[in-house]
Amino acid sequence: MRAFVFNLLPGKPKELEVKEENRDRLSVRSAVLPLAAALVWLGLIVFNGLVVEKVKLNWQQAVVNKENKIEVQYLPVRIKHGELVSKTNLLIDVIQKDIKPEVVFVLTETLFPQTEAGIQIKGYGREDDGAFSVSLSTASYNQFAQVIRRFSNYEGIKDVRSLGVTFDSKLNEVSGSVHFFFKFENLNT
Amino acid sequence: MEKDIESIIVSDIEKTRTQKTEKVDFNEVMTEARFHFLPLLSIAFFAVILFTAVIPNVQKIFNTIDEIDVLKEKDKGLNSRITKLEELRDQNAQMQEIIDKINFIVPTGNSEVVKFRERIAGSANANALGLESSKSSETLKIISELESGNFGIIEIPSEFNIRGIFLGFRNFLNSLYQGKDFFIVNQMGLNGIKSLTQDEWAGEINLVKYQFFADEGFDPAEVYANISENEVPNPDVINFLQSRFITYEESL
Repeated sequence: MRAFVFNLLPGKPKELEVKEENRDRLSVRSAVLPLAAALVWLGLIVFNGLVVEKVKLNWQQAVVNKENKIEVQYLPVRIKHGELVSKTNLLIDVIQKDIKPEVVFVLTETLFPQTEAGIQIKGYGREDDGAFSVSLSTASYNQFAQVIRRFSNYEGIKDVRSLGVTFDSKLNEVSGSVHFFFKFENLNT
Repeated sequence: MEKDIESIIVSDIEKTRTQKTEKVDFNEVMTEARFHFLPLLSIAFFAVILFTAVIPNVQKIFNTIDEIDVLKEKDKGLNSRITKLEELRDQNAQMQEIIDKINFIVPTGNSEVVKFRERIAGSANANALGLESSKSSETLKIISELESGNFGIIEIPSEFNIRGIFLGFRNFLNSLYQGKDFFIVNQMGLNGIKSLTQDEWAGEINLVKYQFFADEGFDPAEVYANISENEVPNPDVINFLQSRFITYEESL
């Protein structure tokens, strides 16, 4: 049986046909955009998952391993070092006070190398503030002043002061004591 | 004049014409939109993917790279810590020697202080000095303590009244300083009690021995391990210990 197809509708205007052709071409081209975007998205997911995250995990693992190493393997060393630091810091005030009493005997021997008429050393002392003292007697105030000058001019000591200087008429002598501090830095050099 | 009116009318007509053409016909726009539905949908879909998936992923990658940079910095810091700790481990024997010396000269037990007093009495006798009396002070003074407050150093004073010749005193004090003990002559009063020819002196000596104290809650591992490896032991104290005790012992 033969079929006859007749298109009795009027033909599309040429203008519309061109417009439709352009639209179809645009549709195909624009369909590439979401596809490309989806491909870029997938690419980013793969790159992030396989490269960037892996690198991050490697660094995280390295950091955790090193932290564990410091926490566990080096713990004895850290404790020992901490003990040394703590104890030396606690001892600093103490060693500043550590001055051998012999230095005061040596000082008097240096200042008075020979027995001098009128000068007599009667005692040695140390106070809890770290000051040393030498108690002595002299024949006169003038001689006592000379003695004090000798102490003051000596470089290894500082803050020289005299205390309790009195004249004893019975013994006919001036007695008193000279107080001073040794310079810690000089003693340790 | 007529020409002017004519030109005004012409310009008015042109203005109205252009206004008509600029008017947007909504129906016409909708028809065009329906006609271009597929390309518009594609562009919209593209925009959605771009703003909801691509850009956040790029941001995520940049954030991860920033995190990696932070981790690299942390790793660098840990490497330098490990290098420092390796150096400290190499100095282990030296550190232990100094710690042992500190623990010896500044004991933690009272029995050591009692022994110290016995040694002082023995040394006085050995230098021909008469020990008239000795006593330990009841009051213990905290000299310094760690920031944690549960570990520090206290002083234990002991008083000695001694009598003898001047040279005996000098030798006695020197022998104490040459010994293994660490103490401070906190107070001293040495006075000639007779004429110089008789050479008799009386001494009141207050010696202070130091002792570490630790509270019950003190955990040495925790407190010491928290101290940075970059902190250095006090050089003055190290020099003091090496010159006064360690080098001295090595020379023996």
